Amino acid sequence: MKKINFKTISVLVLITLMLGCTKNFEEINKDPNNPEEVATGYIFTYVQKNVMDNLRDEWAGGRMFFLLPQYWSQINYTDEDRYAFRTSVTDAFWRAMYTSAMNLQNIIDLNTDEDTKTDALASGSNENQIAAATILQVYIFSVLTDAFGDIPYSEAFQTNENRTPKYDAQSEIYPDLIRRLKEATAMIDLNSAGIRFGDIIYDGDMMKWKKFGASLALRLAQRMEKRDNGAALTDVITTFGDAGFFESNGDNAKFAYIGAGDNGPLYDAWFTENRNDFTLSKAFVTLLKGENDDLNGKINPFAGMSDPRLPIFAPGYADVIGMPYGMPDPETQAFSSNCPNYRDNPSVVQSATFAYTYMDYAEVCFILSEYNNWDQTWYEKGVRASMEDWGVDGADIDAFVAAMPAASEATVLIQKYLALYIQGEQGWFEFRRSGHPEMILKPGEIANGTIVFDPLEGGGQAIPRKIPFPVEEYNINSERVQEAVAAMGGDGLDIRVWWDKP
Amino acid sequence: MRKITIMLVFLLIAGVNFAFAQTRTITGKVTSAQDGMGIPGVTVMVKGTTIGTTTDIDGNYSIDLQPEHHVLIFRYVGMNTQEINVVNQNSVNVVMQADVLQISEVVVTALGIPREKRTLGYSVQDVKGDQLSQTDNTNFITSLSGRVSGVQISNSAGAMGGSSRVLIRGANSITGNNSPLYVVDGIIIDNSDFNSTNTARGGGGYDYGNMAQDINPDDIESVSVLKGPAASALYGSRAANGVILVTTKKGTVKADKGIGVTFSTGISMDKVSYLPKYQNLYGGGLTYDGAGTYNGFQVQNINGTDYLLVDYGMDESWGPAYSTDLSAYGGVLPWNAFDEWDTENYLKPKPWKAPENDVKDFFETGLLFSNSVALTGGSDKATFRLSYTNQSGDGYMPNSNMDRHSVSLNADANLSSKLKAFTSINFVRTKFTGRPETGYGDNNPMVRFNQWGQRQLDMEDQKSYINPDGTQRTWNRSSWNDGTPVYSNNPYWSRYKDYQNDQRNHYFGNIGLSYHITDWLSVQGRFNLDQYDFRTYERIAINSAFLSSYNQTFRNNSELNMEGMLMVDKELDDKFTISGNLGVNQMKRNYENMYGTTNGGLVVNDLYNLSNSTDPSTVTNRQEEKKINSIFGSVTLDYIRMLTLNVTGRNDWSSTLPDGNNSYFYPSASLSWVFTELPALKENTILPFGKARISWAQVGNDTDPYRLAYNYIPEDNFGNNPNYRLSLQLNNPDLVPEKTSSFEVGLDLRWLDNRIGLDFTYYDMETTNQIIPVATSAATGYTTQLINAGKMTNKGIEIQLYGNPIKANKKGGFNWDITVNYSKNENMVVELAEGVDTYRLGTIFGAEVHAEAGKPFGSIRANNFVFDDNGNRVVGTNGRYLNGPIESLGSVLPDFNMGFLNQFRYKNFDMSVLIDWQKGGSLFSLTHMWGMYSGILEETAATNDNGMNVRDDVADGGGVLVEGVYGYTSYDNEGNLVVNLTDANGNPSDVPITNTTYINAETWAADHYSRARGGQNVFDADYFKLREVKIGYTFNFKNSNIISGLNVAVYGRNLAIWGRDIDHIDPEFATSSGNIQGIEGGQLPGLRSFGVNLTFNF
Repeated sequence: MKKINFKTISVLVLITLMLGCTKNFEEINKDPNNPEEVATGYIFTYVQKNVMDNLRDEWAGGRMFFLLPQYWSQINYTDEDRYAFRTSVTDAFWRAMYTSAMNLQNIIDLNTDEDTKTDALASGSNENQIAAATILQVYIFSVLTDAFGDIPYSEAFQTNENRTPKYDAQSEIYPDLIRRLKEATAMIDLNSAGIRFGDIIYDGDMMKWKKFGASLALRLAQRMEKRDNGAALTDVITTFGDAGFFESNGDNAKFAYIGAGDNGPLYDAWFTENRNDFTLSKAFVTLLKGENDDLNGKINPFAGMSDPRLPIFAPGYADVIGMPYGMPDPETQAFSSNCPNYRDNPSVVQSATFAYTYMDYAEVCFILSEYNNWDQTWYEKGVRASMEDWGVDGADIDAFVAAMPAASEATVLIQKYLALYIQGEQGWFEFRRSGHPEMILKPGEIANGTIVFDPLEGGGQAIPRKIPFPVEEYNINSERVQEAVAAMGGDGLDIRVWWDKP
Repeated sequence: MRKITIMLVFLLIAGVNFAFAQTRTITGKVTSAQDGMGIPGVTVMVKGTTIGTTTDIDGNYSIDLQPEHHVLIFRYVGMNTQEINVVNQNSVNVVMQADVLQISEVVVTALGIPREKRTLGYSVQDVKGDQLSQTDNTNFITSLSGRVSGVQISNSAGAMGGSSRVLIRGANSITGNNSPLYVVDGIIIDNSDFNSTNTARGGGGYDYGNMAQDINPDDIESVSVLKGPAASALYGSRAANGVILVTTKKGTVKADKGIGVTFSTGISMDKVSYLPKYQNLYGGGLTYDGAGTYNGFQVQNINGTDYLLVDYGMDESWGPAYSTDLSAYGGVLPWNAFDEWDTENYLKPKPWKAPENDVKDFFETGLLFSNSVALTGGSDKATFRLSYTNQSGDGYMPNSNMDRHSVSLNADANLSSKLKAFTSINFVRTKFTGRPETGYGDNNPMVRFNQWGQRQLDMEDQKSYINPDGTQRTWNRSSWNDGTPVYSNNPYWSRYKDYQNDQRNHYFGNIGLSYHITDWLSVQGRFNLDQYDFRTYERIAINSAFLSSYNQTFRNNSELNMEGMLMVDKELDDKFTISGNLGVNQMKRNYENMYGTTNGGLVVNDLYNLSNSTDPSTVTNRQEEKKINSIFGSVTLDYIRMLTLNVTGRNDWSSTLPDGNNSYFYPSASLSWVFTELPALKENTILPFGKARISWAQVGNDTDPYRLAYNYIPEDNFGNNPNYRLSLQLNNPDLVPEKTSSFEVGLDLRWLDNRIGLDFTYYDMETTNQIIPVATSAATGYTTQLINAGKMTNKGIEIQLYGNPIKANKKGGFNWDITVNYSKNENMVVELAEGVDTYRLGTIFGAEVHAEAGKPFGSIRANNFVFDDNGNRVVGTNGRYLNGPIESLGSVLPDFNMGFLNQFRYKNFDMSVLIDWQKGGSLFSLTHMWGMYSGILEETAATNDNGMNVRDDVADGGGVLVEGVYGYTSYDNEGNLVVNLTDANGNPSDVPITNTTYINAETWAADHYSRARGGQNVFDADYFKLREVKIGYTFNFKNSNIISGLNVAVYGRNLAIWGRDIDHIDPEFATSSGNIQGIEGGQLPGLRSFGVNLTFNF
């Protein structure tokens, strides 16, 4: 008996020792599914796609930014047309933009940190990667601040060091964005390797990145013009010179989807999600058709001219009217047949391989026309650039340009608005900046027949000037967001951001 | 490792002393003190060995005894256990006394160790298997409802094979697993559910149930619920939420050494019992006016004739009233009147009226057949039980069926007088076709009936769901001359074309050896394996309202536990007894899944293969591995059967935690004091039994694999470009184990010969250092960050009250037992992390479930009403509610749960009635929100105070008047919301002025979504349920050679519900076994079940 006892106990002790041995635990806990290191080029691909996926999709795009400047109306369930935006959309949009910018921060950090910058060279020179990442990051921050006003900026991306980043005043953010663009473009070294792979926008062409950075600075400087009397705008134009900005459509910053599963977000909205909720808005169509808004006594400076882009935006609908904006559901029904049905007749925008614009040459032309006191040459270049970019036939362009009224505040800004189609957020930012085009239907005006545009939210007063902060921020960063709300005087649709000086 | 264990087994066998010399045979008879009759089936064991037998039908037994053994133990349920010292006699007769107080009642405790209830210093409650198996429920978990105090069970309404959520003493972990550990005969069973977050939050998808429901109710001998950490501490970290310990039926020796056969057969029927209350006055679409319309209908000229139409593209019910006179047009063209091929209906106007075949007629009667056969037998050398069960049948939804085969073998063999081998092997194969889709799913018919749809639709018409060319025929047409679906499939199309199927093979079992080294010391070694593969296939057909697709998921999970244990049980002297064990365990879990899906739609109709994809199919896979090594031990010291002290300890090393911080120890101690054993109380007759108990325990917990390192997540390649991003969750290399501490006191009292019993428990648990993925502002770069933080407490009481108001004075007399189980748990999320006050568990349509500091777990947050200082709701001068801030509107956790179980016996009849009561808890109802929005629910066509229908024009006295006072809100300089009272014209007012502005019904209904969404759609989850009624009759065939007994049971489950706050839905529901609870949407209908079960004993 004693013998067995001894044996048994000694085996138990042995097993105990074996169990205590946890040497291979670290190996077991190494994730076989997700890598700890990847080439930075792969992250560029992600960010470039993700920003368009979330800015130009059916949600933040179709149910917010394409509606606000009235490029689109919904044909049913018009709650968002009437400014009852879904909080989940704002939440998701905010999340997508900040986490995209975090991935860019990661690229910048990997190219800066002494331990990792050598490895990062595999994807291109450190400076060029930092520059391109910075330009995209500024793009994201500018969209965020233009939409929301004050946003987390100086304390963003501090990960676990600071879980409640403060909101910075837009007046602080704007000059810093322009400063960063100047620094980034100056950093670009055209003689060393661009981004070697993964750069879908420019395929590593650093010259074009440089122009994108400059053009973006131009956009932002003009947007804050009312606050600094154009000082930044003059500074940017002086710094870069006309040749520093986009010089042709070949310089456009676009993200082209390739189809076969890598589909544009609007293709997915119509043909994967099977939604057919959106159509062109009447205000937009009226401008393109060269008609006046007789219901509200508004004159179209392009009256009598049919814009050759209309058949491209609404193929197969010769007598398209467009959905009067913001009508209640029963009234929209009667109208559906007058509107493009993109499920049957998709436009190029609904194609799986559509190239979505970050920023283009036409916008630069219109900015410079405005800067040069409504310059006719830049105005014509802008119209041509936009029409060419949308694939209008050369002869049609010539005819239209020859016939169009001279450059003026209204004509230039209407053409800029038309050129910004599918950059919904930019169309809305520009409307807030300039008040153009006047054709956009205001609350209280007549949408159709006797139906008055009566928004559900925002007190029915005016076109929104701000997107309310995400509910998520109120939940998880409440003190900070409350500070921002107090600083901005509220978080309603009527609150103006800093550059939006009445 | 494995080699070592095998070696251990050999060493044990080698050391066995095979000498059987000088064996003597003891015989005798066991009789009852009550009537002097022999008792069949008494277990007779040789103390210190595995040798045992049972008495035959007359109470006689015979057993072989070796020289070194001299004590026999006689055990029988309901009798006091006796130990007899056999010195020289060869014949021992025993008279057994009834154990009136049931104090020697034995329950199974942690590690499967049976212990007398009186010695336990913590709460364990058990349920006998026959209470679970007779009602042919495929999921034994649902049958535990109301039978155990301290346990809250929420069942998925109507989802065939769906999830059950079980919470024992509330939720302990903020984001981790709160489900108890399931253990079957020592085998730890994985209880994962594979419902996506989207399914859990009510966003759609299929409820695949949780894996523990594979345990076959027919094989269950008993279920012990170990409620607190003290009871479960020996199981280690995963038992922090309690343990549901299942003991399966074992082989028994028949007196004639023959084979016992039990055959049981049953049939049960499921009928849909609860549906929302619908409005039956208005049809679908919208109400037109102006040119080209007639009484709200659109006038459309087709082939030269004017017809009346409604808008079939609109999935709402704000259409014209049914009573309208349409004789001029002969009625309305229904949705199926536009297809030339359908000559019966083509361009035939129909009356505009409520449907003859409404929603309830869509459902069928579910029929479930259950057949089970069990063979049992053995000798004093070996016993076995082999069973086979088949449950199969059709669900209540069209095109749904299930089939489950379970095979189970339990066997043990005495290889020698000291060495015993045992095994338990279970195999379950489950197949489902057409599980109903849940939540806001495109193919959940309930969404189309209750949330978005047209009320006039007749189910009979919709049975024609397919056109001759194979395209879909749905009411939800794009226009009269375009039958393409807009939003909604025909519900029959959903069921017959867009369905899923799945199949699961689940194996669990163990094999082991135990060896008695001496009569007080034994050693045991075993392997426990739980393994399943689970395949699911989901399809959306071409011509559905949504893009066609096909996907399949293969999952494989295995968990192997190797366990060795040394056990001691010794009487130190006539006062002290010591028992205990020391063990080691190694756990290894491997999980793999592979998911493939088509992209961009299917190419060929009705072909479901990943290659049939417009864009290339994508396949993703995931692998996980985890290991935990453990040492554990327990010592129990008993003093004169009055005081019992139990101390346990366990140390785990987990591979999921960082090196250096991956070891955690957790101790427990409990004390039981049977104070009625004190000399002063011992002979008292008022309180013959009383026990006080106290316990304390601490349990550690690890985390999931791969949560330490920072990593990148691969997205699908963009063309040829690899596509990687940072994880949205910031992992943490410095995690430390979670910790739960618990304290528990209890009293167990029996009065009046055990005709009244009370078991009372108070507990206080606290979990700290939780591993939480806290939500952080995306501006930090991550949407969640893993940290150790948080503190959550659960305090509560459990009362189990037992009464025997009518006691049978002789066998077969009338007997009535009442058991009341009451549980009240108060949960508090004391703190989360620094700077973090709330953690969002899930959200859908602006309804959110949070863990919020200072509130009970699972608080529902949504926009509330705006209230003035007096608590009045504030409305604008337009008569509509103002949209208030997002606030907590209640916790999903109930105030208390109560179960009332009545059992009656008379002669061969028995009857039981079980009532469940839940008080409190909140829910957010999407059915209510959308059902109002789209004009489906009864309230949207109610009569208002003016006696008019709310849908009538406000100018004519129609409309809705909501309760409130006039005002508006503004912000002060600090950004705080300020309420400003006004009069009906918007002029400032010092006093609240009651709203008198009627609003249009459609505006009011739509406001359920856009204004005060939470205030208008959050309800209490109260209910009473008549959970189960069962009547049984037992035939005894004493004189038959073929059959010895027959039990017939007739039962009904979920027979009635009352006391609801919201009549449209069943407030008891679960869409997963996880933490996102409390958001109801697209709820599947409640079911009422009836059945008959016959059990034959041969």
